[in-house]
Order: sequence, then C-alpha cells, then structure tokens
Amino acid sequence: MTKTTGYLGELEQMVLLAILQLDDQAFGTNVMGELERRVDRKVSRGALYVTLDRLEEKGMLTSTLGAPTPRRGGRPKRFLTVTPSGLEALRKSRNAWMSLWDGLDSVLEQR
Amino acid sequence: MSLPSLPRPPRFATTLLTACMPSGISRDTALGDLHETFLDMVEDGLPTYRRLRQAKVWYWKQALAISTRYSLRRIGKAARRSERVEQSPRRQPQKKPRGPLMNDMWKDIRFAARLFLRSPGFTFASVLVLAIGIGAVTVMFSTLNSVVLQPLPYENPSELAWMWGSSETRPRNTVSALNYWDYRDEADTFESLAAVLFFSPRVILTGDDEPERVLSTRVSYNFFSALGSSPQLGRSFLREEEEAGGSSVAIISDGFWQRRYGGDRSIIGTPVTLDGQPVEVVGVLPPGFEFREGVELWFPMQRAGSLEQGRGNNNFGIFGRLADGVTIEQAQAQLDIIAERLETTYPETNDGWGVTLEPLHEVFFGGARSSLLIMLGLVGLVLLIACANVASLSLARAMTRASEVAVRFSLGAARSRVIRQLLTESVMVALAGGVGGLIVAFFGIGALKAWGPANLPRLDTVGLDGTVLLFTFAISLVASLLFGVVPALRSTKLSLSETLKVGGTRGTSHGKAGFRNGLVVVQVALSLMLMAASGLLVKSYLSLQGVDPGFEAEHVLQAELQLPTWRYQAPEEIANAWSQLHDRLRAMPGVISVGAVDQVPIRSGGTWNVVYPVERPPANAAERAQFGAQRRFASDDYFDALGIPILTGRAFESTDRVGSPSVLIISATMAERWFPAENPLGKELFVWGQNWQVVGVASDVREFGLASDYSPVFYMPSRQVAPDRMQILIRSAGDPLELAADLRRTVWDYDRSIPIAGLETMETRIGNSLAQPRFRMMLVALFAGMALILASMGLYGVLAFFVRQRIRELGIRVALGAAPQNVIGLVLRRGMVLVGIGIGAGLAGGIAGGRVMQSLLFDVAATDAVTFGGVSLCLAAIATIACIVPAMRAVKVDPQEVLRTE
Repeated sequence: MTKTTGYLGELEQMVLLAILQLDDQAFGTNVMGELERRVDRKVSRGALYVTLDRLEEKGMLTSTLGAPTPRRGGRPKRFLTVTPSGLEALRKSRNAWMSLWDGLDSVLEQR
Repeated sequence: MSLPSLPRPPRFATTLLTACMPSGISRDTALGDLHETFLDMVEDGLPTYRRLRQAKVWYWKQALAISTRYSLRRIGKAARRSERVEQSPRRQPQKKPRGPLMNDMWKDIRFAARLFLRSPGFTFASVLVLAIGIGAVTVMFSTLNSVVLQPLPYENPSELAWMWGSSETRPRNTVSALNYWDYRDEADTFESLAAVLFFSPRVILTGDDEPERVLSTRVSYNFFSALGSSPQLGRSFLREEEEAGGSSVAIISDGFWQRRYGGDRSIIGTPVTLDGQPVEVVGVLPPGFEFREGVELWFPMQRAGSLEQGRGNNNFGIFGRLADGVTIEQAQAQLDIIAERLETTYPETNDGWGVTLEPLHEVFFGGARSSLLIMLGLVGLVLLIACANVASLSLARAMTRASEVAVRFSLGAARSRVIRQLLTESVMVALAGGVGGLIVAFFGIGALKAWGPANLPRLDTVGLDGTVLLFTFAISLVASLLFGVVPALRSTKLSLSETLKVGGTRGTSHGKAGFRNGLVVVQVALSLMLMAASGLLVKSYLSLQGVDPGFEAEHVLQAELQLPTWRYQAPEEIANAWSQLHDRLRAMPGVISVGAVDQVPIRSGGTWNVVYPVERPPANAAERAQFGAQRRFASDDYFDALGIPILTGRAFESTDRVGSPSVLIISATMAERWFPAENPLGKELFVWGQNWQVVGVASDVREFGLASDYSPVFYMPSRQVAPDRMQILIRSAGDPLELAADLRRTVWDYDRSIPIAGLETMETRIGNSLAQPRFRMMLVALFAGMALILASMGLYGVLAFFVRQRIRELGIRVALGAAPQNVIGLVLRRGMVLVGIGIGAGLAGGIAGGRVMQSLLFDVAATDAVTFGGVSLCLAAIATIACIVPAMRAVKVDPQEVLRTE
C-alpha cells in the first residue's frame, strides 16, 4: 500500500507541512502546537496519531526514536521526517491547487 | 519536605490505550507524549491535589478519544477488508484475508445485530434484566469508590498516620497536649507530627454585623503544613505562637472569608472580636480545605491554654506525616520507646498508656468501608441472579436455534467458530446491559443522594467517573461469560442427525433441561440469601427501635445555649444567669419542665474522667484505668425534664450551688461497679483534685446511641461547676417544635448576645442515629425484592417451557380424562421440587455466609431461625404463584388441537 493515486487530504497536507516547518524538532505534541500556532487549527491527539500512522503506512513519513526518559514514563519520543515520496505528494497537491487557482485572482479579490 | 516521586497518569487509561492502539512505535511514542504532557500539567507550579486531578481528567479524555478513534479505524478497516473478500471470492480463492479474527468478529457482530432485531423480545428482556443487575452493582461500587476508595484530599495522603493514645481498656483515645509536645520533640520518624483539638468549640464573633457563633478548633503550628496545605492568603501559624503568651491570631476558612467579609483581602492583619477578645486574622485557607466538618476558625494551641494543661487531659487528636522511607511499623517502634520513657517519668498520668498508629484513611473511612463492602457483596448476588436469568433465556432460545446451529455444522463450520459467534452475541447483550446499567446507575445515584443517610461521609461526591465506567465495562464482560459460556458450549454439543430429523422444534435432551433447572435452583437459592439478609436487617432495626433509651424522648426540645464569656465570668454570675434563664423558659406557655446538661445522650463521644472512691484509691495504673466514667454537668431539673428516674437519694437542688459541699449523682451502672453490694449514698468520690459526696443514683441512659451498652456516668451539679455552654431540654405538653420561636424570643429578651444552636427534638435525634441502619435495611430490602422478581421470572420461564415441551403428553392426559388438579399437580410438583432444592441450598449458603453480616446486626443472630424460616415460607409462597400460571395453562390444553398439529 505504498502507492496511492489520489491527492493528499487537507489534514494530511497540513501535518506534512507542519513537520517540514519544524525541521528536526517535529514530534507529536509539537506538530499539534505548530498547527494551532500557524493556522489556528486545533487537532485532537487521536486524529493526529491516526493521520501520522496513515502517512507512515503510505510511506510519506518515517520516524526515528529519541531516547526514552522517565518523564515520558520510559517511552521514546517519535521524531518525524517527510520522505521523498511525501515531498512528491505535497508537490503534486500544490501543483494541482495552483493550476486550479490560476487566473482566479481577480474573481477572489472582489470580496 | 520530601521529594515526591513523579506522579503517574491513571493506570486504567493507559491500559485502555494499550489495548486499543496497534502495538508498535506509534503506540509507544504516543503514550510517551501523553505521559510528558500529563507531567507538564501537574508540575505547572506546585503539584496540588486539584491540579493532579485536572491532569488526570485530561488524560482520561485523551485516552478515551484516541481509543475511540483507533477502534473505529480498526472496525472500518475490517469492514472494508471483508467487503473486498466478499466481492472478489474467485480472484483470490486461496488467500485468507489478514486478521481473520477481526474480520470474523465484524461479521459476527453484524450477524448478531440482525438476529437481535429479529427477536426484539428476547433481546429487550435480557438487556433489561442485566441493566438492572449491573446498574445496582454500579451504584454500590461508585458509592464505595467515592466514599472510601478515593484518597484523602491532602498531599500524599498515604504518608499520613493517626496516633491514638492507647491503654488496655481504651485502645483509641485522644492525647494530651503535654504528651503530644514530648512525642513531637523526640519522634524523628515523622516529618511532622501535628495536633488538633478533638472537639470544635463555638466562639462568638461580634462586630459590625450580627453576633455569630462559629465552630473553631485549636491546632499545632505545623497542622496545615503536615497536611501539605498552606493558606491562599496570609500565612500559617508560627512556632512561637504556640508558646505561652503568644499573640492572639487565627486563620479562617475560605467559606467564612467569603460569607462574612466578602472576600476582602484587607482582612489579613485586621483584628476581629472573638468571645470579646481582639484576635488578628493572619491567614485564609484555600477553598475546599476541610479537616473537621464545619470548622471555620483555626487557633494555634498555646502552652498556657486551659485545654493544653494537664498530662491527663486528653484533648487532642494527633496525626503525622511519616518521614521519607519510614514505614508505619518503624515509626510505631520509635513511639513505643518514647511512650515507655514517658510512663516512667510521669507514672501518675502515663502509666499503662502507649500510642498506636493507624493510617489516616483507615481512621476516617474504615467504618464505612466494611458495611459498604457487605452491601456490594449483596448486590453482587442480584447480578448473579440476573446472569442466571439471562443464561436461562439464552438456553431457551438456543433450543429454537438448534437447527440453525446444526445447519452450520453440517456445512462444515468448526465448533469453535460457532461458539465464537454465540459468545459475540452474549458480549453484545452484556455491553448493551452495561450501557443500560449506567443509565440505571445514573438515576440510582441521584436517588441515593436524595434519600441516603446524611451522615455517610462524602456521599455528595458519589458519581460516575473513569474508574466506575471501567468497572461497569469489566463486570459486563464478566457477566457475558457467566451467562454466555455454558449455553454456547451446550447448544453446540448437538447430535446432528437427531436435531435435523425432528426439525429442531423439540430437540431437547434431559441434560439441557437439567442445566436450566440448575439455573432456577441457583436463582431461588440466591434470592433466599438476599431475603434472609433483608429479614435480618429488618428484625435488627425493629429491635433497635424497641430499645429503651433510658429517658422519655417524646415532647422534648433541645437547644444549645452559650453564655458569652466576656459578659459572664465569675462562676456565680454564670450560675445566676442559667438560673434566671431556666425560670423564664419554665414560665413559657405549654412548658412542663426545663432541664440542662452539657452533653445530651445519643452521641458519638463524650468527656470522661478518672473518678474513684476516696476510701479505695487505685493501687496501680491498671486499677486506675477501671475507674474511667463519663462526666456530665446537669441542672436540678435535668432528670425530671428527660424523665430519667432517680433510683435512690435525691436529684440536684437549688442549694447545691457554688461554695456549698460538692455533690455528685452517679448512674446505676456506675453504682454497681464502683460500690458493689454497698449503699453508694454518702460515699465520697475523688475527681478534679477534690472529694465529692454521692447524693443520688440515677437510672441508666444510652449515652452512645441505642445500640450501645450502658456506660458508667457521673453528674456534677451545673450550679456548682458553672459551665458556660449547656444543652437546654424543654419538655412540652404539645408539639415541642412549636416552642422554638418562643424559646428564641425568651432567651434573646434576656440577653441578645446569647447564640442559640442545634434546635431539634430528642425524637429527631434518636431518628437520626438510626438513619444508617434504616437506610441499609431499605436498600437490602430493595435488592431482595429485585432478586425475588428475577427468580420468579426465571421459575415461570422454566415451567412455561416445560409445559410447551410436554404439551402433547399433557393433551393426551387431558383427553384420557385426567382430572385438572392432577395435571396442575404434575406441573406444580416439578416447580416445587426446584424451589425446595433452591431453598435448601439458600438456607445452607445463608447460614454459612451470614456471619459477615453480624457486624451490621443488633440483638439478632446472623443465623436467626425465625428469620430464615419466615423468608423460606415467603419465598415458597411467591414461587407457588409463579408456578401456578403455567400449570393453569397446562389444564387449558385442548387435546384435539394438540394432537392434530402433531
């Protein structure tokens, strides 16, 4: 299930972009904070984790593990990186949006 | 302060997450994120109880939301997979879909749902029966959960231990201030050892507003820090404020601050007038802080204070926070050594006295726990009956589904697969029952709060929380196994050819009928046990109600009056004021007599002193301990007003006043024990450092409630000792409560600054003391009623089924001219055999298990023959009615009809 034909969903796109924005500091709680800070989008943890899992299943994300600490109940931290195929999907989505937006600036500027 | 270990997120919530999320790094890291955020929330400042609770609630919410999402995702995936498999069976004939278990489960669930919709009657009945059982258990569990399982609202409450003063005869006593200070100075196994006055005196606050009586108490300077609390405003007490001559300071509760001062922050440092003295308020406690009910003012104890004097004046309750890593046993060992030293240094007061540590939680809630556990056990029986009932229903339905099962087998289904299908159905029924149970519990808890006894601690906090939800979920699953496994195993153990041959309508074997009969026996037996428990509690309550309190409670109004000490100081002034008040109250219309005492009977604790005959002083501590008796101050007319007969000698008289010879009246029990085979009149007793002459013997009174034994009591004449606080008792001709307004007016006409509190009739007082046993009795009667209904339904079901099974035989009998009573007898006999066995088993179980009830019973043996006999008869009678209905149907069988259809 590494190949999908459709475009990325909205949340998927937002999550991938937030991860890219966060660079090497991208992990679960931060991604939530980034989405809220930049676009005022509140995502529940459940939705975020499911999305991350799905993106990883699709091969658009990889995770590396940080060292487990007592503050985390002895559990590791999951640092997220967007894979080349993730970048490709983002690019594809952006291109699709761009071509749909093309020439509509005047229409939208009226109000 | 010890360094607290890191708090942990709720364990059950973590378990839930672990169960619902697929294993792997995604789950591990998500749990880590939650853990870290949880700690961040807790440590946002100092970890307090409230913040910890908030963080826990947050964690639970997250856990539930995430679990739901992952579960939905799993179900969705399984559904998609199964659809794919169904749509393309030929393309991938060999390849099994991944996760066959999930896949099958999804199918099973959908199949079961369709089945339930097709037989709504069965589904509804099962769910309803389970909902009642699970709901009842949930109500009891949530009560137990809130009342006794929750930690005390103090920091690290498990480190807190109560220190009882203990002697051979008084294992749980309070401790004197002087002894407390010695223990505090020497015991380093405690991080802090704190003291609190064991009663709550009322002080009178005067000022701009109306005078107000406020409950106060005295505490050691480290009392608040020992509990891990500090004032929200101002400061705690200082060590030097505990010393003799320390300044007059007080700390007030948040409620009092809001009510009286509107939350004005300038109250700190302001002097207020308490009992006529200026006192500086130095702190305001945080909202919700409570240690002893209703206390709003906290004073520091003081070395020179009257309550702190005397090593034998055990006025204080002591508790401490154990030092880091110290166990309660280690602390106890150290205290034992100190106690021994105090015994040799102060033999006069300390000989024979040690101290005993007990976890604080145990001291507060140990009593409520045992009775709640018994209730939970009893309600568990109701749930068992409900399970037996549903098992019986499922078995009956399994018969009608026998051919379906047989067809599945013949088409090659594995037995385990069919069993799984049947169990899925059970789990679904149980979960629906669980949801219904929560609804029942929701209303049940409302009813409990409305009608429960007011003196059950923390009743107002009972509610459905995460723990309760999990508990309900767990018992629903257990219930599904209880009622589901055996029917599933039994109904898949068919002989194929036989079932298919007879078309599945009558396919039954004796074994299966035997099992259903067994279920009925179980239900009858458990019902009998519950009815017996209920009967015992009723009988116990009746005998409790029949106890003579030793006084005449009817038509007596009680009110607590306190003379402001700054206006009445000399003993003569006080005695004079009481005497004038007495005369005015006596003159009110409708009043028969007026008496006064400092502590009214039917109470939970009282003041006692060592008092011994002057001619036979105790030789050692052990003998001394035998001479402890309850001490009361009584007015001349106290015995008359409460109707306590004076057996010999006289009551107090107006000549027993300040300066006249000191006299005492003693109770009959005291006379018997102190002066066996002697005339106590004229004897001298030594107490309060002087001799007192016995002038009368009063009849015994139940000082500590109707269930208590008579205690030895001695009465001092209030005219001689002149206490500033008394309970006035007014015996009236009519309804005593009608005198309340008159009483207020009369007292305030005399002196507007005398506060009046605790207006109630003595009958109400006795009634309140019976609130808990009455509540238990009603609750268990309700359980027994539920059990009886369920068991009757079960019995009816089995017999109705029996009649249907043998309709042909019965038809032939009727056709051949069997008398109706014979046919009825045939069916009845069958039912009554089951009932008989059930009653026998129930009697055995009730007698064996009844012993745990003994602590709740008064004057009734847990194996009371009359009760057991009575409930057996009652159960048999009701069971007969449940049997008669199906038996009557058997008689009405039309032979022609029956034989034709066959």
